[in-house]
Amino acid sequence: MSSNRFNSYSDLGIGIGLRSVHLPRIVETLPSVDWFEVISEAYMVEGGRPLAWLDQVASHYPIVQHGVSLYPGSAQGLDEAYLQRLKELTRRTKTPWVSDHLCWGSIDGTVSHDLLPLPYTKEAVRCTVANIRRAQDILELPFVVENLSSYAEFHASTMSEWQFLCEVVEGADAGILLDVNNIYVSSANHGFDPYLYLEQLPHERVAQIHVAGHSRSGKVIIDTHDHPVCDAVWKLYARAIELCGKTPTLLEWDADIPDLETVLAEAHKARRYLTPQPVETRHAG
Amino acid sequence: MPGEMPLLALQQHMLRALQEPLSGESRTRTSLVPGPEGASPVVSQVADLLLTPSASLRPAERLELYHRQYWFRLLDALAEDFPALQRWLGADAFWDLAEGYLLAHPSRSFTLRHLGYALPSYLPDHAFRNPVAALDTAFALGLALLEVALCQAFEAGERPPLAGAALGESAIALQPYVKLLSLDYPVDTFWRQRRLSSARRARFARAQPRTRCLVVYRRGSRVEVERVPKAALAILVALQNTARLERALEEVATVPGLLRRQDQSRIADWFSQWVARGWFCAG
Ligand SMILES: [Fe+2]
Repeated sequence: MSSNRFNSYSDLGIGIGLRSVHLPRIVETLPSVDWFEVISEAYMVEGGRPLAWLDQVASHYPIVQHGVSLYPGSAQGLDEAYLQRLKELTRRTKTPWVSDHLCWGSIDGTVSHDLLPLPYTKEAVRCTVANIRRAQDILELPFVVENLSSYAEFHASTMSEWQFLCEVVEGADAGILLDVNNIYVSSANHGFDPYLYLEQLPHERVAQIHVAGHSRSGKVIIDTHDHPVCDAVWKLYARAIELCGKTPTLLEWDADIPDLETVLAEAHKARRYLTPQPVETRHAG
Repeated sequence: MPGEMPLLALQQHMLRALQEPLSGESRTRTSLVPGPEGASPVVSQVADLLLTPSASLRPAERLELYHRQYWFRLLDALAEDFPALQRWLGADAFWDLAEGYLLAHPSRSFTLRHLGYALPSYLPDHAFRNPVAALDTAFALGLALLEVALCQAFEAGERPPLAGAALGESAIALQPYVKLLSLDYPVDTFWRQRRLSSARRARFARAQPRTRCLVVYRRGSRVEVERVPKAALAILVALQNTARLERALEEVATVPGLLRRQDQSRIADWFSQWVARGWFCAG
């Protein structure tokens, strides 16, 4: 696996997102999977069932925290109380790194609960870098940013998405959670070459990869996480592994969630790209 | 020039547009991409100011995708936390209420779990579009209070429980997962009915106001709702206020007619049950 300082030199293989519908089955059957990713905010509570389940799963599997509300691109800085609670949870889960999205989502105290796209400008780079540095100082763990699926582009942008991502992670000395499905979705919506995007990234910073399914809705592709991974995304994934090396990989399936076995089977399809395939022996004559 | 708009102003413009009520076909949940008539004038204006068109979508159509996402995510979260209130009001009146509520109380928390906490304080002032829904507001308020208590008890913390012998000696508090409610209607009975005929609903609508005392609490990881006698609830409320067992009992005893003869003999049983459930912690 691509062990680097952004994933705490871990050798995690294939994981799936921990979803509440699967919890009883996971605890009962302890399925074969290397790790689980949890949505941090779902467990930033004082007590009750969520934490009881989390502790049970964490006693059997490594847990990695993935957040949706840090909003590193927020023009007004980060919510310090949120950061403290996030840090408390990291002590419980012993997550080797913390990830969130390259987005904003809250302003003047109002929270959108969405992952909103940023304009790709120097000002947004400066702001996002400062916020991520603040998060790293508080969390004292590697911080890893995920590229978004987006449906909008700003007049204000002065660079490409991959240039923006590079400038942010290099400025903040952060890792990348490379979501290959998101690259695919955005490339289709905005008309760029997803392979060019992949090639331009600092591959040594890729700490983790996401694969997921999406939906086509007329003129646009929406990142719905409600389908198996399509062939085009697996192809992109294969290229990402060539460029980054074997990297901890996680399947996201968040809507119309099928049974645990189906999700695991889909996730394990990643194995064929992570483990060298046996070369067919040719017999002459 | 839009290209020079500071990041803060851009984010303020965009969030303000997302908070505009949905209009036109966007109000019906649809997987279709927004059409030209989907976006409201404010959304179109902000979209033109901030966004470029794509090969297939105009700026307003692109922003409308986020606009719908904002509203449906929040409406879904409220519907998930208030299923009984939605059953009581019906889908249209519930949306009407939820929309008014979100306009008055946009989310201020990192988590959607707290989104509906202020709904009971907002509900009495909401001007329902359908006046029939307004008639049912008192019952709806009881349901909203019950469902907020359920959400709070679900995720509240748990502190080391006190043993019975410690109750008389130290300051006492109730566990954070124990919520006390005194409601005017049998909303707990309604809440338990997962399916409801219109005749049955009408019976609830005719219910006369009469105090129902409820404790919402967590047992293991399950949240339970239990009716308790008026005097029992009064003792728990007094304990919450005074933190002292003796003072709480005195306070309840001074309310005329509250502690009936049969209640007095049951106080010890109530306490032993509450202690066994671990409801008390150090205050
Ligand atoms: Fe992702």
